[in-house]
Amino acid sequence: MSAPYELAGKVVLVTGGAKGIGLETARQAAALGASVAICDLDLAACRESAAAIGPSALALEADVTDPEALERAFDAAIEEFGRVDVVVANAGIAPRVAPVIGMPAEEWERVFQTNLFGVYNTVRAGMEQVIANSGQFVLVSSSYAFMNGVLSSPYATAKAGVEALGRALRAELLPRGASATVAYFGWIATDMVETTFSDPVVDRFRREAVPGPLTRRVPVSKAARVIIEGLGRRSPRVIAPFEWKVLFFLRGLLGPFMDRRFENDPRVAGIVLEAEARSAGR
Amino acid sequence: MLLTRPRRRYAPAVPGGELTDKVFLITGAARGIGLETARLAIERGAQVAVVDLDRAEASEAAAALGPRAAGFGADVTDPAGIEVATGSAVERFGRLDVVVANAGITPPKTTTRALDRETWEKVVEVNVLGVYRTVRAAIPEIVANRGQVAIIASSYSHVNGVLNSSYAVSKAAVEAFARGLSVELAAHGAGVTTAFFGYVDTGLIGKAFDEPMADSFRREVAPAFMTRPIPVGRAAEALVDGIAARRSTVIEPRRWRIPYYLRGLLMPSTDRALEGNLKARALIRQIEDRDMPGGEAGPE
Repeated sequence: MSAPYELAGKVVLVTGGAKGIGLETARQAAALGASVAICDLDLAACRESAAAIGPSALALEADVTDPEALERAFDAAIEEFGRVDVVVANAGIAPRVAPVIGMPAEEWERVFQTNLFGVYNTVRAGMEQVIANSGQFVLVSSSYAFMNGVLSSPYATAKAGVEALGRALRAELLPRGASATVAYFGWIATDMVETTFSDPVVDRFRREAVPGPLTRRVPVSKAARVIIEGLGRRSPRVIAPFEWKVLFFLRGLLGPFMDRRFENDPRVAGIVLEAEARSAGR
Repeated sequence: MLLTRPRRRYAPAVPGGELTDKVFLITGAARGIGLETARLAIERGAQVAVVDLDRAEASEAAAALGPRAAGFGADVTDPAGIEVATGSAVERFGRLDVVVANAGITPPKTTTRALDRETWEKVVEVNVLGVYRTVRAAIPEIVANRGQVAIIASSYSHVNGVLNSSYAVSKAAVEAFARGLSVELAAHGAGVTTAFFGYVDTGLIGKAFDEPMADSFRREVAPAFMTRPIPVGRAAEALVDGIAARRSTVIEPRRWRIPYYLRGLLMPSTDRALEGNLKARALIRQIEDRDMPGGEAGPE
């Protein structure tokens, strides 16, 4: 494992690849000489993105909640490129910002299932190829795997699950010569995050309850770069931006401490009740 | 509501707890930790709605617990079913103060690759969506009575889930669910107690280790402190104490507090040690070869 894993000549499949972190990861992998299959719900956007990357990119339509659609996407990638070495399970959705009480059950469950079962389905669909080619999985989790998920409950619940899946999977794959990486991102300047940040409740939360450095956003190129570097080293985990590394290592101590702070902070209670009232008013 | 701040959690706990006339609803309560929790809550003066998948077993357990218990049948993965059971419990006892989302299942011990999709998804459905649906059905009563939600996480919430990924995923997920919920309910003066148990001597775990290869993984790979089981009564007692004192976290056995609080620092090295453990690697391959359809698991 000490020789760097080269992406040149490899085939990389990325879910949620039409934009954001997925697209940027595909672009950087292609720049290093990989062929890339970018899967997305939105085929038109996917085609446009693939065209921009060039002839080494293939656009595929796939809903990660549909195991058969994923199988078809893998089949198409194998038909085009002959194999799949690396699978980046990146597709995910963010919920509306709302407490458990204010969120319809269908929405809570849909966000949870898309973010967790979507990754699981992607892993299952790619498993035999990744093992046969001594390849790699990257499971895109989140800083929400270790931060309090207040007002983003189904997202945090799913991302904590994705982290656990990635750790177990790595231990199970290494004896076969393959590996898995968990990617944890704080705030990356994607459309998804910008939409969340434009919510007045989130804005109030950021201003009143969260330490300033923890609301910093970094460009998607940074997120993609740490994924690519992680692949080169078969890293167990990649974390960006930097401040979230500190929180990752201190999570067992800071997590409970910040949880108790939030529970006892009247400003947080006010924000929760405001978000609840807003949900009820819909 | 805006003016109703939660009672302070740092207030000293009432010794022994005060559960007189509090009404509990406990899922998966016909046996194991759920049943013991019901028994101890009743001893301290509570009334308990015993909910279980099997209606007859729920009624039987309730009958054995005496007049302060009543049994209800419900599948926690069926949102309508758990709502009806919750409604019946409220009708029977007049209110609901504490919901213990205890029902859970464990998978056979094998790799993520070798375990069939249906089982993997079922474990997550029962252990996460079942908890969500149970909590959701109970929340109006819990909020109205400034009660307490209890969620059963596990040492698997933070320990590597090798050969047990569906379970570890589900328990990491419910921990995250409990953390966010705890902040949200605090705004209403209600609370969440999350319990992290190591191995508890219930029927569940006995079955998990019956199988010889999983058993040798447990004996030869996992450190002994991790797998020494505690009696079910001790887990239940810690849980009931935690609920009575409105503690946010219950960790039992207590030696598990170290990996809980130091998880961020320890996880990278414990994961790496596991990955490099030759005995573990050989067992993982053997178990996968045995369990793969066709028995062809691939390169050694």
